[in-house]
Amino acid sequence: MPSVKLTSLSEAAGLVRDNDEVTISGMTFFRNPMALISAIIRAGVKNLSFVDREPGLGLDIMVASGAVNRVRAAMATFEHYGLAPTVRRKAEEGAISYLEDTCGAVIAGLRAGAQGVPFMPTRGVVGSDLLKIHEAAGTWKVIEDPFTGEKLVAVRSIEPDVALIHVHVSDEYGNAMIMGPRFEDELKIRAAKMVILSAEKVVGSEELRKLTRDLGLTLSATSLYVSAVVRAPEGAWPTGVYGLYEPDYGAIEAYYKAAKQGLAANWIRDNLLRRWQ
Amino acid sequence: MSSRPTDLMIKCMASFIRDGDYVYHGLDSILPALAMVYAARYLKRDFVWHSVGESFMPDPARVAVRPSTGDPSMEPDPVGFFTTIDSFDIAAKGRMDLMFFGAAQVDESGNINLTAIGSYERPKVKLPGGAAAAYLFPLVRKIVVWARHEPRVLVHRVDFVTGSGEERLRRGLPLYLCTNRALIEFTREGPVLRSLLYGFTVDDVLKSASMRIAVPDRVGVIPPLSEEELRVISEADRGGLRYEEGYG
Repeated sequence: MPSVKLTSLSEAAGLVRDNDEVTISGMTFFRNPMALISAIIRAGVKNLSFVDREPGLGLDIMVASGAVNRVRAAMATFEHYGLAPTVRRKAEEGAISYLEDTCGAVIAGLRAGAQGVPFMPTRGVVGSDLLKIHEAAGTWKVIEDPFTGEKLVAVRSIEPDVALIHVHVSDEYGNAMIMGPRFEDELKIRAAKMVILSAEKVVGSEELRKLTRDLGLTLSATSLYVSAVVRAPEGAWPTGVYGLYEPDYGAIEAYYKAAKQGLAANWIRDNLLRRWQ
Repeated sequence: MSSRPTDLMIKCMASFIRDGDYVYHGLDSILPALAMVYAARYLKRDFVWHSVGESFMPDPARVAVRPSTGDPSMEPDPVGFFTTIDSFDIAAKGRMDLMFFGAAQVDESGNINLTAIGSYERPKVKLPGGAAAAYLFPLVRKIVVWARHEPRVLVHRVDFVTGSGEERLRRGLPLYLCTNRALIEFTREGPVLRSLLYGFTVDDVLKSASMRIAVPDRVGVIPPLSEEELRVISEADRGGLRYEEGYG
């Protein structure tokens, strides 16, 4: 039998160490693990590096709170509202380091991490100035297909120390299901050295058996990967969770405006930290 | 009726969607999403609709744009969810037909910059990043870039090559630019003006760009939208988010 992983937000946050590389679930305004992020901010974890494909709110809040000072992402955006406000400002000030990536390469790196191989070749990317940046950083290398000689980009495996993943439903062992869009979350779960789940619902294994039997749903995570499970209803707010709640655009815009004025910390304290005391 | 540049751009972008195409839109892509609605509902194009929100084949009549174009509730009733991982694998196999990219700078070789204005290490403006641009530029069959028609946007040479137009042209892959003044095609000989948006002159197009644009003998015009055309777009954007994007 797997062991029980159910724990509290603060104990889960205690598993994250200064200087860890972290990744989070979802995308811009969807299924970001906001309850877990809130707990990490409260715990005062520092100097995290962050890796993801297309983050938005969760990343900006982690940078604004001082938890993250190194970012690797293909795009960091608040979409219709504008650029990720704090990430932009701190990158322009030189207060954070920023490695721009590209979607296909992030996916390739996570795939390598998930499969336990040192790198993954990918097509595309040729001609982009990002090649020089990543070759200097040691994260990509142009290689030749040993069979045909085609030029490909080898992406070094991405194995974050911690993946913070918000799911629809989990049992207390970390057997969990994500419904609707999954983005790269299942790869992140497989690639990371440690996985912390927050779940809208924590159920008994019987209920998972029922979902499997009646609906044929598949597991996004299993107990084999997961170190901690936290019960967090509406734990992605103000980002949305498919089928349960839409993004709270009013709150996201309010954060954006506050962050533009340098008041992100106040917003985080009043809206996020207070919510997850 | 509408002859607003924003609506003309949507019509321009939609014209590249053909029957049977596999079309994908990314984040921050209100104009491409509305072009897909227009192509499906007004032009009756029969294409495969997919997006970064992972909705696969949603109901175009019920699409309603949101501040995030990754919002699955924007594209309801999909046949199912299909991950972006799968989508980009299809692109790597040369089977993605059309993708749209916004750009902060575009140059004479069709290179786009979404990374930084100024230097990469110490940017004057830190842009959002190219998302899939670097990856997909050499891979997708047709790419349509959209951008503001201004001298600082349409430049001789971008500050940073995020997506390589040069590489596309070398591979013989089509590359177009829809601005809020004109439709431009990139060729190995440089950018060529193909159509004017209704209400603009060749002079408007050349004067408000720093890139050199060739003007052939025949240049088309993208005409104003009829009530019916406008209705199809407005139904998917009742709040008028598209006009807040700054294209006029």
